[in-house]
Amino acid sequence: MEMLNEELRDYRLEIKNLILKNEENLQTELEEYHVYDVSRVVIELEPDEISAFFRSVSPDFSAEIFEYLEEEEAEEIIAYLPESKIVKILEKMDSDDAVDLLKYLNKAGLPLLNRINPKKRKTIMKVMAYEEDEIGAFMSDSFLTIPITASVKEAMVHVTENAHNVDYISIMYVTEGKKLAGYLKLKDLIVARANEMIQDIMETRFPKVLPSEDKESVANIMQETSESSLPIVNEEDEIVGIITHDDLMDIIATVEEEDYTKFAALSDTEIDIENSNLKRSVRSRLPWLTILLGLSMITSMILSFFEHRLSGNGGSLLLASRLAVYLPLILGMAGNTGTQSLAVMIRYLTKNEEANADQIKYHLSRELRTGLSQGFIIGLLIFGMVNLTTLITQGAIASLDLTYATVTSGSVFIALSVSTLLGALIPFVMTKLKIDPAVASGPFITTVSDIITLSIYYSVSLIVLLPLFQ
Amino acid sequence: MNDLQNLDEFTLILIDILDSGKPFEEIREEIEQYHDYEISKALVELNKEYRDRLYAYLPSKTLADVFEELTPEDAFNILEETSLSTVARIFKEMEVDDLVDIIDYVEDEEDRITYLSLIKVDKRVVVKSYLDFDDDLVGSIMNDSFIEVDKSDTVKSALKKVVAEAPECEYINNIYVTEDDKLVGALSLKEIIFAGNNREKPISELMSENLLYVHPSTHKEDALVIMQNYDFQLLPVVDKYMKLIGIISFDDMIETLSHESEMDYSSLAGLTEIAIDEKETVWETIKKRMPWLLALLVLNLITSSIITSYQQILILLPTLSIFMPLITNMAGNSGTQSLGIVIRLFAKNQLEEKKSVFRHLLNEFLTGLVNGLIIAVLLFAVVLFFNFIRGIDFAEGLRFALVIALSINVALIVSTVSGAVIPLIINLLKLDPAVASGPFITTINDILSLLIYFSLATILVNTLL
Repeated sequence: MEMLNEELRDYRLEIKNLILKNEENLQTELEEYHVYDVSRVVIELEPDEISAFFRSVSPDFSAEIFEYLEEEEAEEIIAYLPESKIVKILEKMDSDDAVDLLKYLNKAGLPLLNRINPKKRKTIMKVMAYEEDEIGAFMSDSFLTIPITASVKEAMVHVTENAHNVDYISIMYVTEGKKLAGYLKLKDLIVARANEMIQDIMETRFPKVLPSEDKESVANIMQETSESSLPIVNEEDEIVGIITHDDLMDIIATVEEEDYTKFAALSDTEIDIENSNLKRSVRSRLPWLTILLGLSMITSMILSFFEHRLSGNGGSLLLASRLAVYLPLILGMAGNTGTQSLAVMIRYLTKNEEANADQIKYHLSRELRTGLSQGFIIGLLIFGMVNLTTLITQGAIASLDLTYATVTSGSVFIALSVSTLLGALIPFVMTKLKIDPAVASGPFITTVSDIITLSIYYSVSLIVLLPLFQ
Repeated sequence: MNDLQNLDEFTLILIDILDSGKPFEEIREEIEQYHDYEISKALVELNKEYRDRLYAYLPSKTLADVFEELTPEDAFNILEETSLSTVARIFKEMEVDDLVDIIDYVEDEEDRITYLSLIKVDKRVVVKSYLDFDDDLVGSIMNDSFIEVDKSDTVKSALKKVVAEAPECEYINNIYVTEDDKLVGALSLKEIIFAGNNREKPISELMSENLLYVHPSTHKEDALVIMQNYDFQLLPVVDKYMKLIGIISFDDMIETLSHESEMDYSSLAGLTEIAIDEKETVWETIKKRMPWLLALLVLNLITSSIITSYQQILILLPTLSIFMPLITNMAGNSGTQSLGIVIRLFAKNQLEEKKSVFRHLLNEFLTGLVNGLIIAVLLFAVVLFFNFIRGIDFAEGLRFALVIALSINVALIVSTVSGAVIPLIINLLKLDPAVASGPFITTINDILSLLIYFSLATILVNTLL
């Protein structure tokens, strides 16, 4: 890998030298490299070098570079370009990428949008209308269609003539009138005999989706069918765009990252050492911490209520201090089991969105029984340990101490069972309420389980132990 | 040349047959009359030149049978001098157990992965399961479903190869150009088709020589980053001599992607395995979780012993316990956040340089400082208000709020840093990285924050008395 990195750096050095030399055939030279590498070099250029560079290359090539830029990088670069240039670049960009950039620019993007040619603007506006999690927001309009009446020979000529205009030609879409009738892999086309008809070699059974479909479910379809692209059709069954393997990778990467970061109670969805800084990490964490602080205050309020009841005399004060000894342990253990079952269920729901009632019931009951068994085992161990501690410190176990140990371990049993079930239940409830279950993070469940566990522990103690200590 | 005098009788016969100059079929038949065992004996004694000639005459099945007769040591020594395409041919027909024996014998890690990657995917899975093999490497997902043309090909002859191989090939968008088996260029099918009018144009003029490739020993994560950044559908895999031995495709990478975040998830949640079976039983679930819980229980006992040692203070100032869960919980939360980041950075191999580790830790410290300050100020106000309602003397309430706020401030800084440092230390000590899981970090932060809280509270009690 080290070797590889060095080679990457070499390419970029060569690109940089080419750009700085800025000779007549710059673009032809640069086309020998991968656009991603060119884009990495361009963002490192000085302002005057940037304007000079984009003067030397065609809008087509510029658009390709822009498709590889992060939105914030693109924003930086267009600051050095004349508006007419930016408009030309936007016109040549893939609609979904253009939309991402325009959306990011917000109000500053409006004058640009108005100057884009009407045809492209229409396409852009259409893509813009889709929500961020709808597949329409990712679709590309760069694909080939073939009329169903064509012969293999005619289709081949069509492909040869148009291949350079289109990004994606591995799969072509066959249309009948305006409707999508089938699809054809390039590889099947080139092995077919010239006099065969498209009609006879095309595939008619294939998945297609509406632009309003959820991006995750489309990603699932693509994964399950191992298709490298999917057609997107409108209500009239006309093809409006396609979604390709690189979109699929992006979608899955984002979804996974989003789920994971939410679980860690972070708002930042992109964890990368390159872009980490103080402002960004505080912004990603503080909102969650503040919410959790508010939630944690409930634990203090509940405790303060119980403390009030426990502040009567010396005996109850002693009880209060003894309860506090095992408090963090019980809370910690309940939080741990809750986190475990929560994580398992969130993953389960992400992977099996269409789980039926029976399956859900099965898993909930499994979690409950797991919680009960684990609570029992851990409770038993704690019972032993509390008694052992008393034996060592006091030399004998009084019946009061035995009751104390029973209450502590009993609370552990209840708390562990409840929080295991709770961890499993929360994601289901959230799904039912149409809230993304991933919002229920690890810290969220530990805080909720703190509140519940605390209430259980102190209630049981007050009822059983307080009379004995007074 | 070997010394002919010392050779086995059959080896000499074999050399004679190979040198006889008879037609191909005749020679093949003559050799195949002999037993695999005899041929295998001869194979050990022959030099490379004769061996290569022998390979050409024998069908893959016979060759595989011959190799199965050899000891793993001999087999490996011979394979080392054999072209990888022939090795792949032999491996294709060999039984799993013999493959395991041979590959187990290879000591060099790099070679091992290369050999393993030459086995067909479905068989490789079985072979791999018998070997101590690192599943994180490209070699475990590589396949040989790619189209290769020669540098000397023209558009016409290249297109012919594409047409011939396309039905067998999963993805044909990228076509790889080799010269003496070495990868020298690549081009897309689009480019070949577009050049279709110019059928005599040499491929070498169309291809791009600025290649990106990986080795079987490359980490899957690193390959994934390349494929994501460059929007590649395929990525070529070469051995250390730049020989093209396979490709990885985007669909295998997607599994890697899901698998990676699954692993990260598991460690954040403190589980050995996060995926559940449709029919998983309670007992299976408990087996996965209980070891963790037991270990955590032991760790949690430390919190109990800390509080026991501060019990006197709790009796004097019972109000202290009211904020105990809040402080430990908040410390746990911020620790989980910074752990979440570190786990991801590890997975992306972004914490390998000392400089980036240092920068990251500094960033965590500052983040803890800022978050700690803000949360502390908020909490200070809330506690002050809280005490006011409870009718506590203002001066006492102020001091109390100060202790709470100070504790949470220090606790947040410490826990943010520890969430990042502990996994790094565990990694440095080469301990099981699973130890740096969410629940572990939370428990350790419980301990640390309790110590901070009670130390500061002791000072408070001393000033009050």
